[in-house]
Amino acid sequence: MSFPYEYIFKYIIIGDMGVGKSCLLHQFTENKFVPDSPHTIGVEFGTRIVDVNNKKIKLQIWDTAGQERFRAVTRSYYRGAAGALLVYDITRRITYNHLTTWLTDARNLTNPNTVIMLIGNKKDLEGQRDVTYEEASAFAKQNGLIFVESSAKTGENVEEAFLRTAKLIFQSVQEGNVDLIPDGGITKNPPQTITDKPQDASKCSC
Amino acid sequence: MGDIQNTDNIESNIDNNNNNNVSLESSSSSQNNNTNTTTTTTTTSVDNLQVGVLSISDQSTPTIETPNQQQQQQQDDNNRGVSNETIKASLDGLKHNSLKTTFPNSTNHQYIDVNTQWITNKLKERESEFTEKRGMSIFLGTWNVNGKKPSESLDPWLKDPSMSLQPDIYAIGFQELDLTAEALLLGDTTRSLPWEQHILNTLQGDYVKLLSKQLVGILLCVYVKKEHKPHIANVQSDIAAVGIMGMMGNKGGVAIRFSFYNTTICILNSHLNAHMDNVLRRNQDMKDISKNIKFINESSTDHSTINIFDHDQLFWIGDLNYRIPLPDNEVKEKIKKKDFYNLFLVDQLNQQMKAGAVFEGFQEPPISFAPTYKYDAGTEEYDSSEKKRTPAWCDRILWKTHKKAENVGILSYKRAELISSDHRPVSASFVIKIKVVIPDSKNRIYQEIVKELDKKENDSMPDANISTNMVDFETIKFMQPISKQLIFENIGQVIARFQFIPKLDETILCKPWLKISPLAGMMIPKEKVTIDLTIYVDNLTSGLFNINNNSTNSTNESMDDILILHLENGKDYFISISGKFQKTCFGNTLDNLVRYPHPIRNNLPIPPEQKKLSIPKELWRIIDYIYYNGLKEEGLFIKSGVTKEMELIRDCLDTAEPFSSISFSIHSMAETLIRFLESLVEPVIPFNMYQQALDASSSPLSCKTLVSHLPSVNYNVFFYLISFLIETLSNQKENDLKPDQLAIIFSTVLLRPSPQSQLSQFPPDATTVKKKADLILHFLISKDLIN
Ligand SMILES: Nc1nc2c(ncn2[C@@H]2O[C@H](COP(=O)(O)OP(=O)(O)O)[C@@H](O)[C@H]2O)c(=O)[nH]1
Ligand SMILES: [Mg+2]
Repeated sequence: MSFPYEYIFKYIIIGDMGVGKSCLLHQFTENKFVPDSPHTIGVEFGTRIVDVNNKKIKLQIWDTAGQERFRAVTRSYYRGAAGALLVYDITRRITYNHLTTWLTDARNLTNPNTVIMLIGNKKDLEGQRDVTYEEASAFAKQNGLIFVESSAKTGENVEEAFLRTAKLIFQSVQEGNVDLIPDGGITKNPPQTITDKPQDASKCSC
Repeated sequence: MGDIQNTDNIESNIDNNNNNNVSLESSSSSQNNNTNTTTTTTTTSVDNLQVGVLSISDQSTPTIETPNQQQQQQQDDNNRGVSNETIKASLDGLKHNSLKTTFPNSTNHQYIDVNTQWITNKLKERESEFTEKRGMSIFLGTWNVNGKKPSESLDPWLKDPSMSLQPDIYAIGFQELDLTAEALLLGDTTRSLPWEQHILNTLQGDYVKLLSKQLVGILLCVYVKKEHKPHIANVQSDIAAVGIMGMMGNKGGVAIRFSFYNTTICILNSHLNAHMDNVLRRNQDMKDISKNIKFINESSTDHSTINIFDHDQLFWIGDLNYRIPLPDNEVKEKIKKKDFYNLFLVDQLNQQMKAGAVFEGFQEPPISFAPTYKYDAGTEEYDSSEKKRTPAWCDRILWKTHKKAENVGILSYKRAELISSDHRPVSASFVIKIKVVIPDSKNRIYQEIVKELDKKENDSMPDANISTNMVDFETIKFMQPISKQLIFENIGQVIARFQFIPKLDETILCKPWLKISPLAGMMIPKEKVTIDLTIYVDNLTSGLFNINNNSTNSTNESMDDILILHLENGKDYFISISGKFQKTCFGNTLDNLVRYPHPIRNNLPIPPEQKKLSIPKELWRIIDYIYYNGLKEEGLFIKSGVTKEMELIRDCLDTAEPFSSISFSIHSMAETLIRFLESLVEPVIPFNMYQQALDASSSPLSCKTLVSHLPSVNYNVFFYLISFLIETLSNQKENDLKPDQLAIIFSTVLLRPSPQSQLSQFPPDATTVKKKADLILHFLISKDLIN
């Protein structure tokens, strides 16, 4: 018997305003692109259950406001994230240039095991590209981030981004690098089994 | 793969059994007796077996009470001494056969995973969308072997030449496979081995055994073509005994169920009670068996059970023992004429089924073969013994298709001419429409369902709309509250509970000059709540904007805050608050005010070489005005001013507008003086001298010393003010003011404890008030004290 999900991973999506953070969230949780959704002023979240190595994992994704003036407030949401998706817009170099500040925040405010993924969004707008794949890829390498270019509009690489992050977190869990504490952004479900020895839930009598 | 058995339970039962030595002893001795007396060939059927009572129930350990007398028939291999080893070895079989699988107790608390249950149910509902139907064949065979060991080729029975393709599934049932008491009492299943081997040889290498299950003489074996093995899941078996005392395994049923691709199949082999007139008993046997056989529901997480009817296809085979209630010779006559039709009309099973008394909803393929019972073993003759049992169709194959499943197609129903037993084996073949999963479709639909669940879950999170995320209060003036409203509306499907929460590492919700009301609340769907935001800068908060700020070339100080409005289980809304505070000499500090040669709102920089003023010019303007216009005014400082007028005066002070441009009463100006002093962030007698001042108040000299220690600006202000008050009192005749009145009024504003200190209590106690007033009074009455 398997539970609907055995773990909950908390994600945050960060990056400048307008890079497509909310669109990525909606594309991932609802499979749709809402082109004119209002700016996020605050923090929204969505959930989705995914399969990682045959384990069901509930991703709880926090989409934060990118406006500079909310920066200080948004920081409080980094705490306890198991994964951070750091997004820039490949058609606007300025959003790429701001990555260092975002990354600094992410590094300072999350725990060392937090998986940070760099996402170059709006891949569909190839004609307006302002940041090359190679450049961002080098940046990612330099900073030890996983990197992917995605399009919240076409859905390309959106699953990939969220799932790759989940896989890495899960790997961390399995290697015992991460404590199963809510503040680490990873919780085991149902909560009362946390103290149990890990049980192979997929084990079946036949 | 295998039976679902609760091993823990079995283990503990074995322990129990070992403690029960007496019963084991007696049972083994009874076995020995038994073997000694069963060397003769008789035709007594096992039905007549008399044994000790083996009581079996779900909870208790089997115990054998005093065995009476036993008759046991055995035609071959007579001398079977039963050693203790054998008994031990067969103990396993006993557990296996006579202990019902125990199911988890539903009253135990357990985690029920309702989400998975929901997904499973949804998936089931949409099964047709991700499965395709494929015709597959099943062969079912039943044979009462009357205790015989395999001796003839099974080909005529199991190899159906009419079938062009090999069956996908073989289900083969035996009855009376083992008539020994070991089998009955100890669950010895060794007799099944040669039969199973014989079947496997017959089926050759194309098949694998799924499972075999035995209850005394009743054996059921299921084989599938090798290629199907990976598509089989949840193979379970169970048994139900309805024999002697209604519970022994000499009669009963054995069932095996499994999922074949996405179709569930259950096969039940039974041996019902014998004898012509036992019809009702057989009917009851059938019902008891159906009721008692249970499996664990694999598609549920709550350990519920299913029964034989909860399957797409249910096949019931076996020696059902229904007879033909006609005189023996008449039956034989009709058989000779192959008039099976008229025989079938009176067949007990047919009759009972038609009457709805048994096998409800079951079907049977048309019978076109002679009754299969009872033959003289090894011959083609019906029973020639004294008993002359009337031939009957004891051996039958029935099926029941679930109302949601597609009915089977009949391929054949016949008997085979194997002669070693007193029964002829019977077989039937069917085509079943098997639901085969199309993995891609199933995956897609699974994803859809999970997504739907996710979406529902996301939708069921509270959602609200806020009228604006930016509240701009524009210009904020000292002591003038401004309110703005936010409309918060529940646009979700569920109740929304909201609450303002502090930012990271902060404990306060907002800046001290902002008031939020309500701080928390609840809205039912569609409901709106108005949230009032009020900015009010008073003495306590104005210091934040008036001082410590070197951006001298701005008249206004910007006021900013971000509020976090949190929806329980939902999102957070950020609300930016902004406003411009109009600088004012009120709520300022003496030190700051003396640095400005210009009015505070005049956007001029402080000249580089500017010396500090001796007293704030605003104070000078107020006192100067009263000095020329109000010293003789009756009730000066006693009567109240007008708020509006005082606001105008404040603007004049801050902008250097002449007082002549506005009109006001002298009392408004007098009160402005008091308010100005009161608003000073730190009073003229600084906080750190407060206690000293109280202590000094009893002696004029101490007071003098105290004042001489004031910082220079404070001293100037004190000196200037006292001089002015003395001047005021010199007009006592006109203004009717008493020194102690002025002393009380001014002492409270000149001498204040820090708002953070414990000394600041409201209302202050009478002694403190008196001490404060005394201090001022000394200066007012002894004029030389101040010089
Ligand atoms: N062409 C294109 N437009 C996108 C993509 N993702 C987001 N947008 C657009 O970019 C704008 C900002 O998106 P939003 O998700 O609100 O950005 P956020 O401020 O980071 O949450 C919206 O107008 C979207 O329609 C994308 O992958 N391709
Ligand atoms: Mg957004």
